[in-house]
Amino acid sequence: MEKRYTLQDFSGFLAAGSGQTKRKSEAYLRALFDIIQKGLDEDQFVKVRGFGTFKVAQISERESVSVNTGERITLGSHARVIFQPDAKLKELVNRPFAHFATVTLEETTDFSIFEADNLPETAATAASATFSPDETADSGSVAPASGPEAATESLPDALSTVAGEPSAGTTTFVQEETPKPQSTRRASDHPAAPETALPFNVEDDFTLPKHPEAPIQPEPVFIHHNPSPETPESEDDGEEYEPDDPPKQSSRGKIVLSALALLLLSLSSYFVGYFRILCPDCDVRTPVSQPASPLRTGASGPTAGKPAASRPARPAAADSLRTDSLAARPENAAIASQTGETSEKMTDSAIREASKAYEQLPGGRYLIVGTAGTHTVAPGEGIYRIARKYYGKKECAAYIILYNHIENPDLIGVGTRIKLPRLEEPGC
Amino acid sequence: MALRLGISPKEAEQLTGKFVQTLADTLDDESSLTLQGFGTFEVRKRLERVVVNPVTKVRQLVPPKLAISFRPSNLLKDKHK
Repeated sequence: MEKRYTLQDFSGFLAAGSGQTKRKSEAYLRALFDIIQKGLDEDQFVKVRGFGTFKVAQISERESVSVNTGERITLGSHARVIFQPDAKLKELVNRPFAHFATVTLEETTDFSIFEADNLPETAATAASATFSPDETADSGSVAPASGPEAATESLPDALSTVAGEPSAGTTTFVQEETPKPQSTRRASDHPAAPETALPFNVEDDFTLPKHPEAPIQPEPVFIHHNPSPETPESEDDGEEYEPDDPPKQSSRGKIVLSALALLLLSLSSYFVGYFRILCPDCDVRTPVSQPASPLRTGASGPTAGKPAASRPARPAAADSLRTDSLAARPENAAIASQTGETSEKMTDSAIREASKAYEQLPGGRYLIVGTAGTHTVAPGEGIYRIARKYYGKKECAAYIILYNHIENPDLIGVGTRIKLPRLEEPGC
Repeated sequence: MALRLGISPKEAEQLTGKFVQTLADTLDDESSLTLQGFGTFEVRKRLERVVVNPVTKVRQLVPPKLAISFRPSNLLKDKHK
């Protein structure tokens, strides 16, 4: 929007840009304009290289007509302070429009029709001049004065080397020149474009392109879309509006997909436990209700968030302690606890009774309900081997360790007699 | 600088360049620089127009552009009436 800068602002900018202190730059600016003023007073002419020239110009008498009365009046001679910017400054300021150049219009140009074919300008831009005829035809017919201006619509296309956009900008440019009702009509003809991809969308009141608000701005977009699809510029414009949407959607879709996959995984693991499919060499018993050692969600696994969390843990000890060796356990326990309700309760109470007598494995799926036997450790036997031998799962070793209060399971001496706990729950 | 310089000439020249640059940069967004007692610098858009060379009768299309304009303050104007 409109911003009014002061000397202070500028000294700040200057300081930032040149590395000088703000004070210095402010002093400089003041001095600069002081000098200019003084020079203007004395010489009526100040030229600052790189900046411009300040002049005091004398304007002589001339006759004119009074605005209010309509009578002839003489405007007396007076002086005006004029500033003519330096070529460099002009160039700098004109950066947004820098790529334009003056073009000679040829006589053969038929302004009224203004189709692409008629344009005599560079052949390369012939395609770009496929403006929707209605646009210019309107202007041509309605206001002859605007004809030439409207006709020049396409020429900016010829001028511009950048695909589509600047010419679109100039189109709107010229359109603004045409009488207002026309431009508004055009504005209403075309619905608003989705994006202001074009840098030169212009408002009605001639403000600079960066602040488009008026409805006119969509037109250049549409102009390019309407005519022949072969023109590369229009396709470019069209494509600009696409890319944003798909990525968003696909990323969202990915998130949904991954969430679904996770859910599936957790569900499947639930059912695996339920049906005991993966449990080798196990007594296939119907799932007993799991009264004990329900799981806290500290355990790993997707089922962590499942209803297992809601069950209060019986053993007070942290479940996470044993999770490394019992990776499968937590979810199985959760499953078991869930299935507990629905399955047959075979020796539920009996198991509970028995298990109370023994120290249980916190977070374990099975309950130790007695001694199933003893085993003398032979040379070369590891605890896991033993567990696998007797229980079919090396994971069951934890129970052995617990039951026998083995401190270092890796270092069980040969000949040690270890008691094998009787584990209740199919699978071991 | 074609005229007298104030503080340390060399730096002044650099600063002018920077100032001009800053001017061009900041006045891009349709903003203006007002100097009290001096005037305001603005950027104005010049529309496209068709010009005719009266001698050769050649019609030319001048493209739109941005130009800096200066409006002297009343103080300045009075001084130079």
